[in-house]
Amino acid sequence: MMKDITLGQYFPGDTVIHRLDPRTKILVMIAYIAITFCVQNFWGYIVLAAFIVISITLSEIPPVFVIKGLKPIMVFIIITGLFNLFLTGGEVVWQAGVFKITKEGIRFAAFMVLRLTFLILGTSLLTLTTSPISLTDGMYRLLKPFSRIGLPAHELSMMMSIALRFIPTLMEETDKIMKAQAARGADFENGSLVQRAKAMIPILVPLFISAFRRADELATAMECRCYNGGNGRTSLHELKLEHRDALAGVCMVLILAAVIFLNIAVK
Amino acid sequence: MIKLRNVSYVYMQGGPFEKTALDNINLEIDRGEFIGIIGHTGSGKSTLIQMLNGLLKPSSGGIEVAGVNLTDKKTNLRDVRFKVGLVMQYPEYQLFEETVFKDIAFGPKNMGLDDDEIKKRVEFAANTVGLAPELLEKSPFDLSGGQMRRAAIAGVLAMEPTVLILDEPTAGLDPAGRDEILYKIKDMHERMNMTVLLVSHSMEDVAKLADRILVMNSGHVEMFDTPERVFKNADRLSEIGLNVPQVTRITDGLRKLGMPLHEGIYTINDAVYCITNALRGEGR
Repeated sequence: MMKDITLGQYFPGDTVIHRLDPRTKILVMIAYIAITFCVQNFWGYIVLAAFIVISITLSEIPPVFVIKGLKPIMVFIIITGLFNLFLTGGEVVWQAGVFKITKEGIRFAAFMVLRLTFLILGTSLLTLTTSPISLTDGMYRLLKPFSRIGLPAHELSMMMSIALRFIPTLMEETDKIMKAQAARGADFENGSLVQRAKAMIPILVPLFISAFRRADELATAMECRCYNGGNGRTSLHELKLEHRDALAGVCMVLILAAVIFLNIAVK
Repeated sequence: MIKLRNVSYVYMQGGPFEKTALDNINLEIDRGEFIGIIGHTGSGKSTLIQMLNGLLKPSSGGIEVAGVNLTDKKTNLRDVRFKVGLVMQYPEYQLFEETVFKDIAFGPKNMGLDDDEIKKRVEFAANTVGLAPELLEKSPFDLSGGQMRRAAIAGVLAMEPTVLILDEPTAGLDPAGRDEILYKIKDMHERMNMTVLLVSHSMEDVAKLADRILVMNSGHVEMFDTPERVFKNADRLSEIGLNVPQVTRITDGLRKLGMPLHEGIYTINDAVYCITNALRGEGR
């Protein structure tokens, strides 16, 4: 159960996509997200699909891994799709009692489902090809200019790296606590919803306590090593933009142009 | 009591990070035995003990504990867990209730016992591990580290299992606390005829307590024999990252210097006896 979460799981590799500067990847991702919302007809989605397929191929990540990222959000996608399908007004195609499906509804539902699917596919591709550390590094570099106007860029990126760093630790911890309580006969799978919610208490209480303890220990350890924030801090891996980063930017501009062209050309 | 036939366990089978934790294990442990389990970190000790109460299912092979087949799909694993008490590493991190009493009662409550019986068992378990009665109404988080450890062990004991498995129950405790907990475990083993499996990194502890020692090495059973015969193989043990008790090292050293001592001396009493005999023999 714990192993199903792909989001934030880095799949190591040494491909063009992996080597791209994290800043480029983040900016490309922001552009990509914006584009998914700009698309107004299905031709645009074909362009995005091509982009995703090519990126996955280049990154040499087994497609199953990318698709697995969709699983946790599937329910959300289906519900959104159904809502749009049944609740959009317009030309009725099918009706049964209060339920009616309209032409516009079908179109809208398909769009929403595609939009969400592409969003998740793109973002999981980003987290699959970028290690959490370089991701926060890139984020920090992108936010740094804003620190002049009071944005705590370093603190934000430090918080993010710590949070990411502790996800596997806490998952392991959860697994251990669950086993320990199961050894005392705790039952997580059977019973009513209330009973199952109650069965979570023996897991959550120790988990929270250990999270607080770990936070405390980490803070002490950081202070012991004279951590005092980002001022004057240099980094081990300096980020440098390469040709491929320019290429990625150009690709993105071309995709944007193609989508806008298709929006205007195909009515 | 416990029977393992050709048991293997593979982590993440079929995935890119596939790893064999246990490879074709065959074991038989009798009722009332005290077994010490030693092995290098990652040798499969923890995987093995988690299998004995159904927390992990073997990838292949059969496990039978107290006459119940654990690999049978129809077996209710919860019932097995009440019979096979497992104290995991650092068990104090699993405490969660408002009072120590309630926490120890968690297991018996899950067994569906009535309140009188639960009370009896909690008090008995607390007494067994040496927790003072006035501590029972305290919050488990107000206890000292050693007391928390005892409370957590009592939580498993209160289920009155027939097999008790402990994964390094003394890790991180001070020497006095360590000796006392081990003494309590030994005492319980003798009084209640419990089958005990003790995982430990301390050769001294297993030498002192165990009837037989199971030596694990990279997923295999390296040795499974009496302490005397296991600690005869000092060279092999150090090859697989283990050691012999200090007293065995001393007697082995003395023997190399020419003192007539037999191999596999593993308790201080035994060593004293043998060395005095040897010295007397020389003096004559």
